[in-house]
Amino acid sequence: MLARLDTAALVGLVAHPVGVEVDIGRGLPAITVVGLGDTAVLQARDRIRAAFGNAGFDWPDRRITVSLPPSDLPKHGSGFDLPIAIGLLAAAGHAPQTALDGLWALGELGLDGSVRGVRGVLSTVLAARAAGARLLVVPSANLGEAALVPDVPVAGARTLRQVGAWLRGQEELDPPAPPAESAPPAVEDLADVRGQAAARRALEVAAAGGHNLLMVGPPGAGKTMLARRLPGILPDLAQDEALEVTQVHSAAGLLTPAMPLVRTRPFRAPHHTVSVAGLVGGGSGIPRPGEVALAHHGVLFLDELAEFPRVALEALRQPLEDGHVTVVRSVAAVRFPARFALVGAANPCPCGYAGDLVRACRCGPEERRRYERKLSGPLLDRVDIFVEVERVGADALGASTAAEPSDAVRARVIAARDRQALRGVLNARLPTSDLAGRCQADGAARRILGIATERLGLTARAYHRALRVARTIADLAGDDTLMADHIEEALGLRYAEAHGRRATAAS
Amino acid sequence: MIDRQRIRPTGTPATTIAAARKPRTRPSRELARPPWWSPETPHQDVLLSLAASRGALPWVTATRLADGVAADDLLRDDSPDPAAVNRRLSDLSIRFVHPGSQEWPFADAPPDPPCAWLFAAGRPLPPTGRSVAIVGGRRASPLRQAVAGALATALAAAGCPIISGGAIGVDAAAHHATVEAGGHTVAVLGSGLDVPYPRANVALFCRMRAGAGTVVGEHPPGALPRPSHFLPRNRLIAALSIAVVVVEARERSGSLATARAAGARGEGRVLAVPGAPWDLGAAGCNALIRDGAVLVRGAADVLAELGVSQPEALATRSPAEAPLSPAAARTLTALADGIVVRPSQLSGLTGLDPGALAAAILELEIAGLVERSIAGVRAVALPADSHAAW
Repeated sequence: MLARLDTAALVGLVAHPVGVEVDIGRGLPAITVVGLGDTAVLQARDRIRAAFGNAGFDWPDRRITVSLPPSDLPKHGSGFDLPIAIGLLAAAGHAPQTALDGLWALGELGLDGSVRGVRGVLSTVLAARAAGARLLVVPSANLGEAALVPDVPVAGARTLRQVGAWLRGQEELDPPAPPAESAPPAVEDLADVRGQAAARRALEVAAAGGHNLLMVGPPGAGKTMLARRLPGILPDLAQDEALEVTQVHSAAGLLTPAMPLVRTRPFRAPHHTVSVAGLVGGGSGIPRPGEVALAHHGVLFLDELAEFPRVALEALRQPLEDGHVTVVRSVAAVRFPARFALVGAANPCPCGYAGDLVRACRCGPEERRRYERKLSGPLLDRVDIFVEVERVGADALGASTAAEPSDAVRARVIAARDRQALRGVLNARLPTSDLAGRCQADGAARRILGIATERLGLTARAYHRALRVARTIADLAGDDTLMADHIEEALGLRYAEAHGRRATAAS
Repeated sequence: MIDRQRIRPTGTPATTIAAARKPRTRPSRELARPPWWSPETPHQDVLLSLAASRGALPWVTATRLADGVAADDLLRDDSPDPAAVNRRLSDLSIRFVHPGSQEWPFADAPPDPPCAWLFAAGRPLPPTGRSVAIVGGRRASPLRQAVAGALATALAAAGCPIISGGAIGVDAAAHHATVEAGGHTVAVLGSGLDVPYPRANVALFCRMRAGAGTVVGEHPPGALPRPSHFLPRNRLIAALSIAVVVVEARERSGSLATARAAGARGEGRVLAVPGAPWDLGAAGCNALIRDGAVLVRGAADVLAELGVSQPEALATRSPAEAPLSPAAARTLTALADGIVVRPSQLSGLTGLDPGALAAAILELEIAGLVERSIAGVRAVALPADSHAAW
């Protein structure tokens, strides 16, 4: 007997429809799975066989062939267990084939017959909706995630026994619970940060314009603490943004049943020993999302920026430019969304105490030059804002007056972003061709810009970057025209590659 | 007047140490030693006797030895004739200067330990009578480099040739400023003149050889720079000049060695630019002043020590282009040491809030007086209104 239903195979973030055909025919008792499955798929045979027994079903002692068309699409993971088991139940006569028409299923089986959660459910639901599925059966653990997409009937399965009873019309599957309106997890608040006026301001400008930020300060100054508070002053995720973020997290298997929808902006802080594959996506077989994709619509924080290997930083260029990253492997080329705010942190020198009047720096000038050279280059070309993070003294740390909370800052950021929304694009992504039109400056501002460009030896790129930041500062102030103050502040926030300039001036 | 006893080197010169280590006894007469001489050098007897005899033969031999020719081969019949070596030197536009040469600078006051020969390129060596050495470290702060440049400019205008070591930092600033001012500058190298070191200053050396000055050294063509070359090199800087101005010197630095070498000479004068006690780059200068060196407040102090009248041009320097704002002036004062200071600490020093401080820094940056880096802010040039003093 032949049974047929549908499921999907995840390639990157996209789930491709996959059929599940189960045939029980004559021959020696055996089960074969064909159709480019990886080890996890092939091992489904053993899991299903054990689950069958423990769920109280007789294993058909005949020749069983399972096919997963299209046969040339590589499939991986354990999500094919449940659809194969359902097909087997129908083929063995435990359910009519009509019950399988338009049915989609996805889930991993435990040896005891339980149905376990898998990753990439959200993408599968989207694929099921596109295919016009009658019903999608998912593990109950993934029910919250599956219910995020409207217009697709979904049901949750806890055990294989329950699924068998449902197929015979004896029992119901779990209905999707109404989305839990649990409060989003508390994000860290800027009110906890003492002092740091300059860094707070830089953080606000970066948030308002979507600018990439580099913080420099001695060890223990609070660079990480400040970076963690950036998501809290960004506007809340819009519904479609939240779905995009959730889809990436679903594909990476990072969702929890308690929080099926990611509603807070992600904050990813990979360690500097991260591999290129870990950063931009990859891994064996079909590429999985990396840190840049997981930071989509959020913040990617690179602490100890100078310690990251050069190849890893180079790999960040595409996502920083294009807002997505394409990972090409032999089995598949996968594109992940990766539009994030980059926040880098670095010590001012290898020992961390350059420029400190209290603690002497132990680094030689050549060592420092090497360090600066390491930092500059391709990545700093994409950093718009550079700010010093100071080490706060004990008196300021002990101060009882609370600093401005994140909510107040976020209100200003949202207002500035609303002004940018009228222009259609965040300032950080204003195309160079539009800059002149979008950044009308008054006379004094133009004069300062002219003098500064000449005397500071600004490159064209640095000039455009200063204009974009000045545009954001003006947006925060609610001004349409760039004024001298805005330009001056923007120039003060730029990264000055001092040594390079001196070297050329001297020779 | 300098108390020579106190200026006398406290450390022992390298050659004395080498002599002490030497196992066998040498004749007591003072021998000029080749610059690459060391106890490990093979055929010391040959080398030393060659170096002691003056004339054309020793430098040919020395050149070949430095090229790696075994000493035994030098005495064979097929040894190259001096003319061939001469041709090679003239191909490189390098002159061999020995005590018989007209431009031999050490006729009256030989350096200690003595120097047997020099290789020179560019203009003829200037007479030592008015030459001033400006020395300082490679790591000198930009502000002290600016001081070296300002001094060189003023002294060159007064007709003093400027001697220095051709290194990056203070040396390069002094050479550059002299070339710009149209003066005569001499770089004393620790390597062969055809393989000048450091590479960063090759363009500068080319300008000097093309007519802006003289490049000189006691190492034959092809001799690569070695750490052991530079301390002996410093004694030549001292011997080529009538006065040594130490613009920057850390403790136990090469500049300090030059100053001590000058102080140890009969007629050498030592001058030093002072600094704050906590300024590492001034530690050596301050120590020299305490030991009797002349304190330098500006070019006028150097000229007065030399007994040279101040040229008109110095007194009437162009005034500042635009006065600094009070906030910028205060910030510049806080950066007077020339060391890197973080903006947050600068804010505490000046009492300016971050916004006002950022504006002040930008103003100073545009005026070319300070420089921002990843570590903080530092002064890199002298404010225009203080130029009169320099």
